[in-house]
Amino acid sequence: MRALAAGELRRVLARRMLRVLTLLAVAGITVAGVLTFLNTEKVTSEQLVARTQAAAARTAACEAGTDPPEVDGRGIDPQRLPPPGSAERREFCRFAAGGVDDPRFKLTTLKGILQGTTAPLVVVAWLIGASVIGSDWQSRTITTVLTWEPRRARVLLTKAFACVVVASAFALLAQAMLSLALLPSAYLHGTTAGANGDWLLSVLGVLLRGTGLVAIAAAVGFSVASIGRNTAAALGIGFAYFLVIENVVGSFLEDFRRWLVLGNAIVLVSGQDSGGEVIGRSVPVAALYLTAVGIGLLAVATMVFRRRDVA
Amino acid sequence: MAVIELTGLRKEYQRFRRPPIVALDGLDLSVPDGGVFGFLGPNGSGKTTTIRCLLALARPTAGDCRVLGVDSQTALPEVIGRIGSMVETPGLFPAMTGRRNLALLGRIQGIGPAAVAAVLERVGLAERADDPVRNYSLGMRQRLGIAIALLKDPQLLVLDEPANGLDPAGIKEVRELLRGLGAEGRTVFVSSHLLSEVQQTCDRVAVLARGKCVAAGPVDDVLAAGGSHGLVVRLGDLQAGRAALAEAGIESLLEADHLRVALPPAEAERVTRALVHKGLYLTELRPEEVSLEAVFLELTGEHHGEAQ
Repeated sequence: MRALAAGELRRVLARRMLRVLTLLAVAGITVAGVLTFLNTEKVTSEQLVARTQAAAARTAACEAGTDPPEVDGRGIDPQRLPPPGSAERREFCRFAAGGVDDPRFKLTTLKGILQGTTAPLVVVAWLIGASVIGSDWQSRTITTVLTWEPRRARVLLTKAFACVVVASAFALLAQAMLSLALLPSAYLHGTTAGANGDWLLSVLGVLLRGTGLVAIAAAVGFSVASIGRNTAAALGIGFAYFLVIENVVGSFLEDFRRWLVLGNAIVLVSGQDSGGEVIGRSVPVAALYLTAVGIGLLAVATMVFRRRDVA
Repeated sequence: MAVIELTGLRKEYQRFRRPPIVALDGLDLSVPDGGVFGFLGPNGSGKTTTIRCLLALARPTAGDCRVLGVDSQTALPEVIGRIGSMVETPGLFPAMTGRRNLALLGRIQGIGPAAVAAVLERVGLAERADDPVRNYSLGMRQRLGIAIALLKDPQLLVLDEPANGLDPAGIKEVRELLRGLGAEGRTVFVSSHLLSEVQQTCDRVAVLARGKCVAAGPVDDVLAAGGSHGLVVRLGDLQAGRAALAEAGIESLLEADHLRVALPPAEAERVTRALVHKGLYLTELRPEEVSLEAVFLELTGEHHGEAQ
């Protein structure tokens, strides 16, 4: 059993698609880190306060008409501005004189970023699960393996296990790399204020729940492709189900969202009961529901695989 | 003891809104221990389906299928370590090298790298063993498939068309390999449509047509049973010879350079007597050679006729 699992892990890792996905992930994370660094700026709290005060003074002068503002570096004819003291003038000045955006990168925003990147990682996990078993059917390697280990349930579940492990590791590594790529921005161009123990726990929670969701996505993608004996079938069914059926049902029947996979996934990733406006669904129940979906589909795939003829 | 025992094996493939395809129609077959057993049949006769049933890759609709003494559908894991097999073109992991493919499969049965290297050497792939399989030719893939089958050092080898895609030198090598394996006391069950190969390689043969075994036994017996029993008669004046034979009540057929006489070899004396009586002298008289191909066509052709 251990040899079979080790072999399957090596086969998944040897796949060209995984290498391509890894390269794309590394490139994307690097670009994200560089862009974040370039778009952030190191300022002290005092400087930020001073900038805020200066902006407030500009706004006040604009409203009073003592300092005609500039828009895009060009002066504006005071005759064309709304009269001082009017609501239109105040609105214009807030826009023209501008507030002050905090240019620092706040480490505490990492939690939201990691939640946001869970969605593409779930798609990648689905792809890994579907393509591994799909290509096994296509290249008939499944037949070769069965002539060495005829216990079909063992073979299929070991393959699914390998996909789940690889997809989860991929997701964890990608999230870890992304966090590392953003650290220079946080330490050199930002602030770690608020990044305390509670925050760290909440980030770990996001990682844990996100990885769990990725594992379930890999198992579901694997199961659907195994039943259809085809990668494209799994991708097509996934696209049709989530983008068409779940979106339509979720849009028209809000009360029903807690029974949809997407609704439960949103609650799980958000980490908040009834998160993402999925009313009446708690995080633990969402986790259990999604796990049941994954295990159920894997059980169906195993049952089908045990009964079907292998070419 | 029979290493493969099929009794009333039937396999139907269901089709949507159409009658099922009957791939095997009550196949009975017994393959004895040791030697090379040829499994012959035209395309679509059920050879590969039989092999799939043997290896539990397909579920028979009815009948029994026993391999190395166990029911292959329920107890194959007990004996799989003693069975090496290759079903059609072998399914390999294209991103991995040939050696890696073998090593990962070998580990399932606890087989180490030394055995992998030895079997690669045996099938002539040692030099290309570290190339990715995606760069292999069809012949090389076929060799690797044979290597996979040999890796377990099996008691029973089940090979489906092993010479497919091989060049003449490769076919000769496979022929010698199979003969050698049979001589070592292993049982080699090999399906093929290359009749000459089966004739040269196998000790016993079974002929399959429309999912049924239409002949089985030692190759010589099948040839003798299925072939005609004619004589080839060669002499200077074929027309005169034919007339002399007809006068003696012996029917003959004029071929390009000889006469074919429909008499068993035991009655050759009647031919010589009739010809000598007319002053005609033989240059050659011998039993007609029967090829497995002729027997095969006769057996399977007859079956096609019945079906139609």
